[in-house]
Amino acid sequence: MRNLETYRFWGYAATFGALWGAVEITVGSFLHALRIPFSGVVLAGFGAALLIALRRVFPVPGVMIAAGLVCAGVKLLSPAGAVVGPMVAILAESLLVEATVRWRGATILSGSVAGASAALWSVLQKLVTQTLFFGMPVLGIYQGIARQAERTLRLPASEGLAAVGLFLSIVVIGGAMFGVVGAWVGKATCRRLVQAES
Amino acid sequence: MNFGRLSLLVAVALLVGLLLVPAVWHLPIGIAGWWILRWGARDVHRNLGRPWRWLQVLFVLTVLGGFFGPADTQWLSVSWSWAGVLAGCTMVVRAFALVSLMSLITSVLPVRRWVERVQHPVLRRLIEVVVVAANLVPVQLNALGVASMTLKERRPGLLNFPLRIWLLAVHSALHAAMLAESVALDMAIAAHNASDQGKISS
Repeated sequence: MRNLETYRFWGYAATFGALWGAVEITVGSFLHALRIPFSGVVLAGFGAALLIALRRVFPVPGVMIAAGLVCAGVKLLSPAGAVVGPMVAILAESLLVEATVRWRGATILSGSVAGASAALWSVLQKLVTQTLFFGMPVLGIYQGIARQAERTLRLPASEGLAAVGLFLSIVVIGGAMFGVVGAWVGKATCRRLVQAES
Repeated sequence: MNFGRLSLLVAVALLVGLLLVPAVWHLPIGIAGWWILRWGARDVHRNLGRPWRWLQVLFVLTVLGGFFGPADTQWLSVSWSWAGVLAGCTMVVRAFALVSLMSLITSVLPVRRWVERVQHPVLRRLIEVVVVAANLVPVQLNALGVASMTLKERRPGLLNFPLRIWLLAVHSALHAAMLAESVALDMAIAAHNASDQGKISS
């Protein structure tokens, strides 16, 4: 029989990947269908939180990438229309979170950085996708919106940079909060598993 | 001409048209391309999203373009951008052409055949695990639903909502961890039985 740890690795990747996939298929499709703003950021933050919790429960390097691959595969098999964008996002987020917690494990600090980077990725991917599909003028529109927001919010004049900075700060803080919650959930889960074993 | 070829032709014609034709004609050629796909390649057209959604995108982008583009026109004593409106139309037609091209490419790619041909042990294992995970999705959703209902009965009210979310998150992680152990055991037993059967048959 092969080493049981290998099967445990794939077992954790399968169940946590399935849980992430279940949320992506149901909540993700629901949020996208309702056109709720920043749904990508919320889903990225949730994914990062789930991966951080997984890494806390099963602290083996690579398990988060495996869970991301499983989740992307589940998304591919789902009946939803658009799957390529979410699949790319899932894979990129799992790689980012794995890279962030690689050295120090899933701590609250690394969890917050991982959540923030996953949330930032979702914004970046949206911008890149829109630029690819709609062309470069979309950047001009965003610049115009940023300038207008700067005037409305009475931020210091900086060609829209202050508004973009404020927006990205909100995204980073939101993502970091998801990461911290993920670390707490992982810690609480470990404690209950130990209690159940004893 | 089959659906695939027609949609490829329309998408490429739209992209070339955007390069060669003046901006004022981009929306009419986009509508013509949509009309040809709508009546000539219904299978492809079904994957392009609802017409209402494209109209929404067109409205948003032309309004934003007119508002934020270079002010070159006066209308009802308000200065707005005709160039921005045209740029909005061009963006939508370009996106429509690219989406139809992408939709055709993804529908033509033989993903299932590629998956069946994979021989690499790690990739094969990953495919098996994805199939297991896809079967676990309804189980996870059911468990989430039951846990959510139980928590709502035990701790009702809006004030308890954050606590309910927290307990649901911990419960889900705990359930996934316990399920992972049983899935790992099942996989190990299945592999052991498969190797035993191999020995018997050989």
